[in-house]
Amino acid sequence: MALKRINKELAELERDPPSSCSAGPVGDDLFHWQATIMGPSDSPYSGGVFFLNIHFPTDYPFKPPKISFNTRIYHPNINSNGSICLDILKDNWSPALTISKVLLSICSLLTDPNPDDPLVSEIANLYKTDRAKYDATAREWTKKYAI
Amino acid sequence: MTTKEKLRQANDYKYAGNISFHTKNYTQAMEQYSKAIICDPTNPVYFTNRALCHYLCKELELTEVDCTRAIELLRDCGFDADTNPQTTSEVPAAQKPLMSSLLKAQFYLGMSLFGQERWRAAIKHLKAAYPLCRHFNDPKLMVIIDSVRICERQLSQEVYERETHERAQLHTLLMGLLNKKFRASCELKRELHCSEEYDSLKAKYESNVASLTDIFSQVNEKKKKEHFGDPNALEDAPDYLIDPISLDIFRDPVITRTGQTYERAWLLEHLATSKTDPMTRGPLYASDLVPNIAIRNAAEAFLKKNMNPAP
Repeated sequence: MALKRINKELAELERDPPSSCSAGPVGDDLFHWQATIMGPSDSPYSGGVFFLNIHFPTDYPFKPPKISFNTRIYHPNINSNGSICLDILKDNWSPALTISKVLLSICSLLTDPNPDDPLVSEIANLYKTDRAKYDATAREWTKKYAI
Repeated sequence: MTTKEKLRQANDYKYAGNISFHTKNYTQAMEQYSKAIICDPTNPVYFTNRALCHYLCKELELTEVDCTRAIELLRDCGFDADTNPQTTSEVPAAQKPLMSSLLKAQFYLGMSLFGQERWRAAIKHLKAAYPLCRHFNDPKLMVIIDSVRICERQLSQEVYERETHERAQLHTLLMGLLNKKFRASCELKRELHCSEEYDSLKAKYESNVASLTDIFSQVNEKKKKEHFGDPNALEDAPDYLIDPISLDIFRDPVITRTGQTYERAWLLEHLATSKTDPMTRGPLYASDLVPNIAIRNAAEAFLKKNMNPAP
């Protein structure tokens, strides 16, 4: 069941690829994918290419995929392990969501961080108190790790 | 032993069998169910329980025997595969175990036939199990849909292969005839000392052979499409015929109170862990669902036009 649905998603991604991201299996294991996200142009991540790991559970799509950043990123909702704090990847998951939709949500998280539900509180505090410094640091990290 | 005692004894054996079954000791469970059957050979539940053990031990022929017997016994009790599933909601609670037994008998009979590659018979019994599964909201619905699809494809494949073989034989026969005619003409011309016409005869012969081969390959291609449909057609299916959970075309769509449509089996699988509507995230219960007949008809029409799965 999971495999069938993953194959459907793969075919759809090949047929109609989203503009700012890509995704596909790493090797022969269709349950392990890699994805890339282009840093949104209206964010300090602009110009960066971010790699993500995707692991599908065996009961996908009834359970959410495990997604984490492989590329370091300075963001209030993403920690140094690459873990992402995003409701749809946890309690708010729905089997009607697809990898394509999730990646788009991660893109909007890059443009609009959610400092009220932070994973890294220092970054969230900086985002709220000194936006210019936050932007500068995020840009610096993007240049250092993602370009 | 009185009849009553025998029945009680049979029931005790069944419970012992169930305990072994739940600890995955299928051989031991099988023995207990066999003892139950000796005490009471008229209870279909003992047969379906033993059938499931056989099935899990991959003893397909024995699964078939026990399921067939259970179906016969159920028919004697007035439960038939042809019983209209719509009327089953009126079944008294006491008869529910028998209905559940009929579900198992039809399903495992279908699956054992599937395993034995007896596609046509497998389709019949799996389709008989479907409305029963629907009645119980049983997750086996999904297995049935997938298995029936595989059976239909296999049947189509068999017909296609047989016809292709017959066409190949006809092709060979016609090639032989063309060749024979060509050589006879050459012989005739040689006798009449018109050897300069040999080249034109040979050119004609070769063009005939090429045309014939072309015609046959065109027919093969056309037949292939007829039997297996256009593999790209499904991708062109309109979004309203695609289930948002499986991303596959609808087979048995159901509609919620808020108007969302889902494939029944996949939605039930989701509802088993979360009583929410996947699109709206509002509360949703299996009892709220009703068939979406308009979408089902539209999906069937689309499949018929583009896939042509059964011969």
